[in-house]
Amino acid sequence: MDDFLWRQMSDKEKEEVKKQVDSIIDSFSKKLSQIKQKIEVDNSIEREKFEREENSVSLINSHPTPDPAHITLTSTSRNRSPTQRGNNSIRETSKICELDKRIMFENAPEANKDFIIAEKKKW
Amino acid sequence: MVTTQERLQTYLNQIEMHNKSGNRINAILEINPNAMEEAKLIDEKIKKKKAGKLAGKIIAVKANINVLGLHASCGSKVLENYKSPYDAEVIKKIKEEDGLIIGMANCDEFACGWSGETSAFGATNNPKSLGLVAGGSSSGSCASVSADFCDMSLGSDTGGSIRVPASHCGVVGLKPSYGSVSRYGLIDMSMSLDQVGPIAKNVSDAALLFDIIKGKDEKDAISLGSNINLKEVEEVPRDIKIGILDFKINDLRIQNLIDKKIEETVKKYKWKSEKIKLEYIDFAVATYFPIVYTEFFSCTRRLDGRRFGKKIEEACGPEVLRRILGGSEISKAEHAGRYYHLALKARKLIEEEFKKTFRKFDCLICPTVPRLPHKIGEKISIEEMFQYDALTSPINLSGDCAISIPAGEIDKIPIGMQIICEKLNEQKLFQIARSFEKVNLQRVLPNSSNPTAGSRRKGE
Repeated sequence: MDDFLWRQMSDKEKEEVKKQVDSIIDSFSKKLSQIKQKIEVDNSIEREKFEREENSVSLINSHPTPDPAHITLTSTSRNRSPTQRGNNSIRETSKICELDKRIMFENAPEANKDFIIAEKKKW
Repeated sequence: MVTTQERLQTYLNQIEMHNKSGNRINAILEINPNAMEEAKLIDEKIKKKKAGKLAGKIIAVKANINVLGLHASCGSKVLENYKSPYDAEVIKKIKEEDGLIIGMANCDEFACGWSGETSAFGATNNPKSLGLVAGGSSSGSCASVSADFCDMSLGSDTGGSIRVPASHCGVVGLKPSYGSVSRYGLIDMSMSLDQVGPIAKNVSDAALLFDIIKGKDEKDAISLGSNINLKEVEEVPRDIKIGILDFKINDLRIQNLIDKKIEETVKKYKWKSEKIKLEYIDFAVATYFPIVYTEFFSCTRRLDGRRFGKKIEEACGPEVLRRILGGSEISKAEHAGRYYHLALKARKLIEEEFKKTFRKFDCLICPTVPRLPHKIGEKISIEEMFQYDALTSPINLSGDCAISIPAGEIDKIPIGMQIICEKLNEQKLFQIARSFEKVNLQRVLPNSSNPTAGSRRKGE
């Protein structure tokens, strides 16, 4: 028995957690083995459509978009001319990307100008 | 009429008095620095009669949901410096309707917990029973509402993480049907079980917030959407047939309290009720955890110290490590048949059993939690901890919807009653819950227009 308060664990505590895990998952397995009924599991998901139309595009509205490669136009922007839509969406997109890039770099533990540093085998 | 700015200031004063000092609730991790500016803009919209449906409502958000510019720490040192680069879909919807985000609420680390104790930023205290756990993992979200730090809040529920703390803190908490609310922007714990849901002081406010956040979303692959009519929530439904779940609970006072409430309500509305036993419900915990462990292990592989904060295995607490190691073991090819596939089959049986039951009953009712909350820091076995989810996790497995509403008190500790309906039947669920609320509230909870009314128990 232990308390569940958060704490920084020592190597010894980590070992104890590892041993505890084996006994926990074994207890699950024993319990589930008591179920005698056979059942087929179908993990497919039913969808109305399995394809998406090309050109029916939706900008992720006001969201800063994590990946510029996935930018598309919104239905609300369809009222403008294609050139206007193109220019405005490029401007909106680059504003969004700059903000997103700044926050992403702030979040990375080690960064250098335009790239995140991740040394081989460090993780 | 109270303005949004005035309401906000009242809540900020409450937080100042009782979050880190006073009652030391420790429900709020971060205050939105732009809150007062945003409140001013909302008040201007209200004056011009152009405000949205949530105008004037102050909302706290669980720390595993992305709010642009605020820290989605997930209650963990791993992500303590992670600033959200975008708004989750639910946040976007709240902002579009002029809801005001007051700040980020404390939670069990990565939503791994039942009590609110596993947060790296300290346990959340139960505002209605100081010294006892608030419940988890949406500990801060429920405690914030209970402690009058906000009008409503958002939590996430994987195995009971909204309903359990709602029960302990004496507030209303909804686990929506799987797929009815977009998970885009929720930092997942177990992707086939997680749902974002509302927490409020009463059923009507919970229904209002659900109405705003629900809906099909292309950015969430499992999204289905759901519909409710808020006016109809106030109508008492006729000819309801209630199934009272027959489940062995050690503390009979809890079951007796729930039975009494059902009897009063059924008599008043001339509904029907019958005891029902579900064959596979005893297997729910053993089914739930292998799935959670496996999916959690999978979703934490990206926390390797490169893009987001620290490497999780080096900075997490014991419960998170337990789930990662468990998931790692279960995921090994030689163990798949022994644990994971068995769990998937059991899950299917539980789902079928609920489906069959809902052909006969409009709803099922049971206590939300089969025990009283323990003291913060109390030594308790992992098996005892699992029992907190015994009555809530089956509904995550089946994908149905369930709500916890206050049913009364035992030893001055709030007790929640869980009402369960078939998936995508939130309309019926809210109607039944509201009907119970009209009959059964023993303590009048403050409505959201009066932020500082209501009882608070100081150190017992």
